Amino acid sequence: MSHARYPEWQADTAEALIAPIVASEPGPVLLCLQAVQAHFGYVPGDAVAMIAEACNVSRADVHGVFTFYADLRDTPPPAVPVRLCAAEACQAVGGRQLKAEWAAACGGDADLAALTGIDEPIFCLGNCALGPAALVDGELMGCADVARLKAAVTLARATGEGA
Amino acid sequence: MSIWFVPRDAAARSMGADAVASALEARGETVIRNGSRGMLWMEPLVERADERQAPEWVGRM
Repeated sequence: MSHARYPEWQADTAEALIAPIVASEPGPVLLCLQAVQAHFGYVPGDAVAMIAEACNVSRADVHGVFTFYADLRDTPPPAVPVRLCAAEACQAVGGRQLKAEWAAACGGDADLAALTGIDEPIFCLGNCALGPAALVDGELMGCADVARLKAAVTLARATGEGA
Repeated sequence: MSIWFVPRDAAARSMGADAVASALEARGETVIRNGSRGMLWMEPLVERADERQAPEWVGRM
């Protein structure tokens, strides 16, 4: 799937991203993983081997760091990721109900589901006073409901296509 | 001529403060992006000031 925002995986580019980090940082594994994800949107398996080689550690070490952090992913992200806060304050103001409603909305709309991906829960966006909070394409939303989420997805999609 | 103070912290932006600010700017108003006053349940809370009046607040724009 081609992605509006992220380039296709390219080993040369990844090596160029990693090299200066390895040269200058004392503990470069996590920084390398983050750099690859920031550029390509995800960390493919090839990158794990590449980072292990560059940092002179085992693949298992890099894999351990990679799997420890839930925000690092090994598949390309959806075009407009939607993540709902699943922490206590948002649950207390209807976060669970919103999650169920959003799942129902995506269940009835295959395009929406493909565009926004599986809702990966996120734990506390720090917007507890304005719960339920959501993250739509990296943008924070307060007092989220299905209508506002859909509007934000439409807007983000239009902006992404225009860019 | 009024000056509008529209917060630019994360909570206000999560409630659409950016859209409010750009709508005001599109109308030729002077907009200053400040911090919020902590009344997050009223965001986007906007303060309007002009030469004659005391400041005026408008919540949930």
